[in-house]
Amino acid sequence: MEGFPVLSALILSPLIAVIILLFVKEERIGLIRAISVVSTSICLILSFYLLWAYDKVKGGYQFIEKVEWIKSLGVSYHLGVDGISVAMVVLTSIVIFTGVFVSWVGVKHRIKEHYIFLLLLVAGVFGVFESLDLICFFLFYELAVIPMYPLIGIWGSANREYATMKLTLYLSFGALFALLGLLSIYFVSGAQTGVYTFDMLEIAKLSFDGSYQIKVFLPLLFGFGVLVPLAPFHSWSPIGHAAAPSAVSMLHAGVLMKLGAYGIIRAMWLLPQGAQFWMPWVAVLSLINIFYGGMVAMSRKDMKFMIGYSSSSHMGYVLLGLATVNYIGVNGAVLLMFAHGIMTALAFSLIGFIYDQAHTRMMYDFSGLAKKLPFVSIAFAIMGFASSGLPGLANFVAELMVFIGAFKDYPIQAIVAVFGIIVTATYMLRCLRDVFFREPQDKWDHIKDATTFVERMPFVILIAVLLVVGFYPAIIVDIINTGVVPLVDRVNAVPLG
Amino acid sequence: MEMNLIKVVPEFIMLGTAFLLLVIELFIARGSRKFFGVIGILGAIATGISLLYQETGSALGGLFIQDQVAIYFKALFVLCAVLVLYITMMYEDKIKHWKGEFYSLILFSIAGMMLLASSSDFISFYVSLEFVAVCLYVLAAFTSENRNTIEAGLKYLITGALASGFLVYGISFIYGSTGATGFSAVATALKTAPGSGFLVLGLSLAIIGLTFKISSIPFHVWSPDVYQGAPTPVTALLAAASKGAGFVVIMRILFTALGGIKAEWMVFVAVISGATLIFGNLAAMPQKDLKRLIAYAGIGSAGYLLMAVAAGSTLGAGAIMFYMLTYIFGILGSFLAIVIFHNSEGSDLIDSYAGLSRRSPLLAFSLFVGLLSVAGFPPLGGFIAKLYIFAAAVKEGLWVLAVIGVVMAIVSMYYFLLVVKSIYLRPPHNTAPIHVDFTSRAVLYVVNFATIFLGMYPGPVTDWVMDIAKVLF
Repeated sequence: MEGFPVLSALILSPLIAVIILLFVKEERIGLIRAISVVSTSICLILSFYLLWAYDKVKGGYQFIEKVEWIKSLGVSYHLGVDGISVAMVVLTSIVIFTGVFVSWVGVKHRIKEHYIFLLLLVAGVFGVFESLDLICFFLFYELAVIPMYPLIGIWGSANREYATMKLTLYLSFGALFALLGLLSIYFVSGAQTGVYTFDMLEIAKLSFDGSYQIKVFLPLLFGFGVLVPLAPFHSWSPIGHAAAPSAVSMLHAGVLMKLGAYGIIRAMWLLPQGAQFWMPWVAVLSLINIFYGGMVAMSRKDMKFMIGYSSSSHMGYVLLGLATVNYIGVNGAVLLMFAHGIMTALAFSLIGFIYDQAHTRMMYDFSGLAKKLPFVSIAFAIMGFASSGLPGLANFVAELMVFIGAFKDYPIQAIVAVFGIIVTATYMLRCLRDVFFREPQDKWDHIKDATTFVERMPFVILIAVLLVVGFYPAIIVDIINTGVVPLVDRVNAVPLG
Repeated sequence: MEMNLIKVVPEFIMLGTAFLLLVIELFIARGSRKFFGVIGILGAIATGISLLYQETGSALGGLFIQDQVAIYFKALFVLCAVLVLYITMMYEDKIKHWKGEFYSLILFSIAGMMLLASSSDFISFYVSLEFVAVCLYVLAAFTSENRNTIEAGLKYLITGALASGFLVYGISFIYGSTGATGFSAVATALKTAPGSGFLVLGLSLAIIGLTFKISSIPFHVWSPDVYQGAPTPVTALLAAASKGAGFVVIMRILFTALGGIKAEWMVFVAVISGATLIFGNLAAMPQKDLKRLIAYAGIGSAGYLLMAVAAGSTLGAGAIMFYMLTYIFGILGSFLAIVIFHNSEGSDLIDSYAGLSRRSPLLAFSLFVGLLSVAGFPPLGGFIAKLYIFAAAVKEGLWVLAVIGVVMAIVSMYYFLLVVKSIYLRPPHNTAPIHVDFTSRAVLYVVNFATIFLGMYPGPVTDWVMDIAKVLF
């Protein structure tokens, strides 16, 4: 496949499917689903090809494609992936592939539009992870955000119109704020070299004044922080998760929340000294995320809200890992982004499966579902264990790496953060006990277990990924590491004056 | 003092078409005047073709300048003319009397705007401005059976007259302190004699007078009532073409004539811009009527454009030129959809648009694309335009203004998404499909395509615009 534009193909595959879907009659549901499955399978194959073909010895940015786009502004369509991006691309294609099957079961009306928006969103997400041009990055980001509005607004559950508005506005606000910072970098770098460009590779070659870096890192940190979501700008996220339909929650928690952390990684790379100055603050804020998110999750009765808050809590570990700025901590953070993406996707698909039949997600409404739903219960238990960081599952490895990394520079924060795991275990195990164990109720006799291939497949795939990465993390850590090492070296290269 | 009339041929074609319609009107019986629209569109196209053969230079003894910027804006006005005339054809059944005159007045006003784009002297500038204004005063009050329309016409006339007073007063001070009326002569005079207090006074008064045309603070009050009350084609004309005409003269006066004293007006314009952004966008939020909402959003847009004026650079000027292009497509596409919807439903309320996506996917999509482009959602044209404006502001270090702009961009997303919510998420009040005829379909497709295309592949247009914007400095 030498010379084949793999990265463009990843973006185009869902976009072409969208164009085909526009011409398919709404009644032909089978065909609509088939097209979506084919297009996401292509993405899955291509992303595994990336994982296999990425040259780990060489490292750096590979599979680069560049076409000039707006000459007067120095914008180009510029794609390329490093180890971190490859991991994120693989995560995205696994989540969307399973998400299409979850929608197959869950979405009952306006099916064609649902798949169109879902695929548009995914094209945007791939674009973000692959862009090496700041404007491309921003455009693809918005392409991922805009479809969220109808996806939650039309197919969502309780409070959907409020939730979708809040989510769209918060996400766009964060991005626009970051854009101001990016524009400043654009002009300052242009004034330095005389060539105005949004090309990240070109900008990364320059070194800016330390005090300037500190100033301009702040809008980027704040803008991307809103997307992470960094406390106290997190309130859009749980409510958005709760209102969204299953497949969208999966993508939202699994992938979209990672865009913010990914943005911060890129900002660290562009402004190493700014990162040195601000990252200790992030380490402190991350604790608020971990504990505040965890405590609120404990108090929630709605399972989706619980997972929603637990996601912001887990993103706290990711931020802590990034804040360490050492090899093992940052590797752990990126691995946790991957593992958490898979784990929350599993959580939301399971909750959606139950909700579609029971029409409630309140924990107190259920008990003893394990007798009726043995398969779903086991899957849920595995998800709960992964979330609480039990060994053998991907999250354990990642969280361990984050803690080890954090101990070096932030021993107090690390010790405090470890206790976050107890909080997670508390609400996860309690949910497991209340919903799946204890006495079964007659009113839930009509609920059926996942039996068909289409119903079971997404759960099986996601669990398999959690287990494989849990037992053999090198499969993904090796590639992440090729991206992390230059990043960490660059940030630590020039000590802050 | 050569006349060089060949340079004024495009304006003559536009005026000639307007007169032709008046003459034809004399000889035919009452009834439909849709073919006037066709004649007008053909005249506009002929004007557009003649623009292609125009060369740069000056005419009418130095009162008239034909440069790349003038030609670009004239092309925009011709585009507006075509779309507004088409919207008028759709709207015509609601006009009871003097249908023919309605068409010719639109053409007259466009011809006036074309002259405005070329004016290079305070005298020709003021005369062209009043020529446009008189046409628009009449048009705003055209369907005089409707009380709202009379109110609109009256408000427009009175505020317009007051603003003109400010403007002339300001011009007289500028003349008094520089001794010249020609824009380049003023610029030359400023090089030798530094600005005096009277000059700054004149400058401030002139800027305040000009804010009427672009509906920004402090002369913004007319726009919501006029947008709502005036016949919809006139609203479209005001929103798109009239705003463009206002900005081309602002650029000529501030950049070309008074560029030497940028430090004196930069902060002043920046303050007006910030206030306009905040007022327009916040006031748009509670609106229930779509035309009114667009009026307030239009005030907000004027704020963004003024942000680029405050930057006072080639980048800012190019940003204004590109913004106007995307704005024309976005806003006129929306107005065409609004007129077609109004013909079928008789309402402009946002609530009445509920479930439009099920009743007419094309109208829904046109409003979606048009309004979100104005709001600045990528990948639509409006986003690239706003990106350039933010870039211009950040480059000049206008950080406070840029942050206000970002916050207000989110506010504008909010109210435009309210419209989208009504269209896409709410169940329809009545499920009957809305019929859209073949030509309107074609026009909507073209306009939507243009908006999306300008967002996806803006390179050729923006490169060109940035290049020609240099002549202003």
